[in-house]
Amino acid sequence: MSTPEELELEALLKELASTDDERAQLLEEHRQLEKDLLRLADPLPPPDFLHAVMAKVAAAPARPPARSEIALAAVIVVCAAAASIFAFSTTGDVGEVGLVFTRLVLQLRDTVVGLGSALAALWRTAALPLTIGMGAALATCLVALKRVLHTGLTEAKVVS
Amino acid sequence: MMAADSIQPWAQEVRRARRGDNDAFAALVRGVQRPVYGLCLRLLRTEAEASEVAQESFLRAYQNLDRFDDSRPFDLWVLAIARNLCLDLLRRRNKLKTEDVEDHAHALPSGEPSLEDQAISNQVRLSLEDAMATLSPDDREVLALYYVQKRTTKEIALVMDVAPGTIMARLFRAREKLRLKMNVHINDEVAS
Repeated sequence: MSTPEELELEALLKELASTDDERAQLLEEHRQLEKDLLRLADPLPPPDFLHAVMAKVAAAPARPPARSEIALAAVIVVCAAAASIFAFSTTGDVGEVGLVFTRLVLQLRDTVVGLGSALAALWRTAALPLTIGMGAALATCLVALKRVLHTGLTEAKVVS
Repeated sequence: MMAADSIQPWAQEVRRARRGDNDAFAALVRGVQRPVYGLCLRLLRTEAEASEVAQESFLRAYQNLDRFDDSRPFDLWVLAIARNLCLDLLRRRNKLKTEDVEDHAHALPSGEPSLEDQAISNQVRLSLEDAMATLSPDDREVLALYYVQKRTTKEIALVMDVAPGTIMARLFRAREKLRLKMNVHINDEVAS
């Protein structure tokens, strides 16, 4: 079973050579030409080529930021603005914004300390079940992560 | 990540260059400058223009490094940029007609010295370069990439942005045109 490319080449050959002798001679001339062509090489660039390129690179304006960087910056700005407006609207006072933020941080610290205490108490009362439970959770997470990564790579290959 | 780096030897340099490391970009240029300049010279046929366009290609590559797809070979990406710039220039200046290429023929050397190389006389080499220079840019390009740069048909298809299945037929047609040019050249020499 010939591929479309082989069929196309065959058709081209038929156009150029009608008899077997002509065909053999044509193919031989092509082979000889290929041998000569394979001996050619690219010339070396001028000696100052690299220097010239790097000079152009240095003189060029700074690379524009990538779209992802612009999007990230926009998200940060919007989130910061939204948080400020929310804090301002809930307190009604600009001076209160800092206090609200500080209170949030303190509450977060208390939550973390509380969670730590709960874990310590749990460890003291049921160390083994806790170890097994945590191990199982960790293994499940790793397996899930591996699957997600594998799926992501496959999609990337197809897209490219 | 390790596997990707071993497949794409320039991956690390590209990452560093993206972070603004010019030494890394210089290393990338050093690695691919010869094929890029070579392709430009085959297409444009003057050293000054080839050098200028090759430099411009690297500058464009630097400015668009963030758009470069890491899974593709860096050299083919720059070659594709260079090719497009060359074709733009050829179109703009309407230089598709054949012209005198004597000087250019001397500027294109043969490969590394070998016994086989010595077997080809300078005259044959010149006539081959002469004949190649009279082909269309498309034909010169496919011959240069396949025979001079030893690229695979898949790589050539990536650079030329065509289906890989069309490359062998393009090569055959280009070779056939070259054969006819060579025969004319030989006949002319015999007649004179």
